[in-house]
Amino acid sequence: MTSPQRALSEFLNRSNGMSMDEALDRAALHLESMRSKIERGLDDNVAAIGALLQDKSIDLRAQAQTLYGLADGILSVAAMFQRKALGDIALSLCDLLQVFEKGNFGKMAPCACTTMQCGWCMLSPI
Amino acid sequence: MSVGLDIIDSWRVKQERLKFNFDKAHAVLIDSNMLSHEVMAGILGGFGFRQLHRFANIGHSQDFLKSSPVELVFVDPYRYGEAGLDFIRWARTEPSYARSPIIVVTGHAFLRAVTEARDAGADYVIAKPYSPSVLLERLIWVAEQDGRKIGATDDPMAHEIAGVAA
Repeated sequence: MTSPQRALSEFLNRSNGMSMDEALDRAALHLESMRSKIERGLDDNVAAIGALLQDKSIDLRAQAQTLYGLADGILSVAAMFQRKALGDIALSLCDLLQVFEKGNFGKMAPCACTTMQCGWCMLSPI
Repeated sequence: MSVGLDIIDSWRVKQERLKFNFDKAHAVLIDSNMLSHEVMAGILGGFGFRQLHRFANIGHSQDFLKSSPVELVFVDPYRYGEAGLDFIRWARTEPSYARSPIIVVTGHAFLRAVTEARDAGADYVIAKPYSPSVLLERLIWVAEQDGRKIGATDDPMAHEIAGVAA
């Protein structure tokens, strides 16, 4: 180790720092600047899912794992870029693959959010 | 208003006054999906992180952690099978990372997966899809804990986690 790492708390309460609102505004700007790249990535993932489903040379387990990876990538970003329907499909696909993979029919963990602003809440209105 | 809501309100008022500067903090992102990487890096860049180290290969991230100071780790362990959870367990056995924040960001929101991640040593599990505000709130909560603390605290967010894991 080149130098000991610092506690993350040392980066809080800095007079030269930014507030949570400023940080969120800057994050929104960053994401907006990436919009075209991310949308291309989303389209690529959707196309890759289509190609995967037609490829009969891959065994089912490998196919399921790849499918999960692609759907999870879509799930990560779709709601942030107003692709709610796509995010919803990806979420369902991930859930379905997990159920089959784990044989786990237990209940889903609820959203850990109290702000009602997260993508999960947006996709699962109560 | 209930006592629980009072606690959450006071936490939020405290957060509104908070100022932070993460530009010298080193963070590692481990995820095999480049789309997830891009978005997470974009959001963290907005929060002021300038030292982001991104890995698709969990073994490479381990090599990096052995030789570099890192203050925060984000990982989706379920992309790597059992090796993902083994990575978290390994980090917890390393003196340098025994108390460093490890945040799991995953599409695996099953209760069992959340419990497994926490049992392996993760500080927090964030379910995809997440929003920047949720990510920031969890990040600040983790940073405010002075290292890794196991068990209940008076922090409302901690109660929130307990509710998920119950």
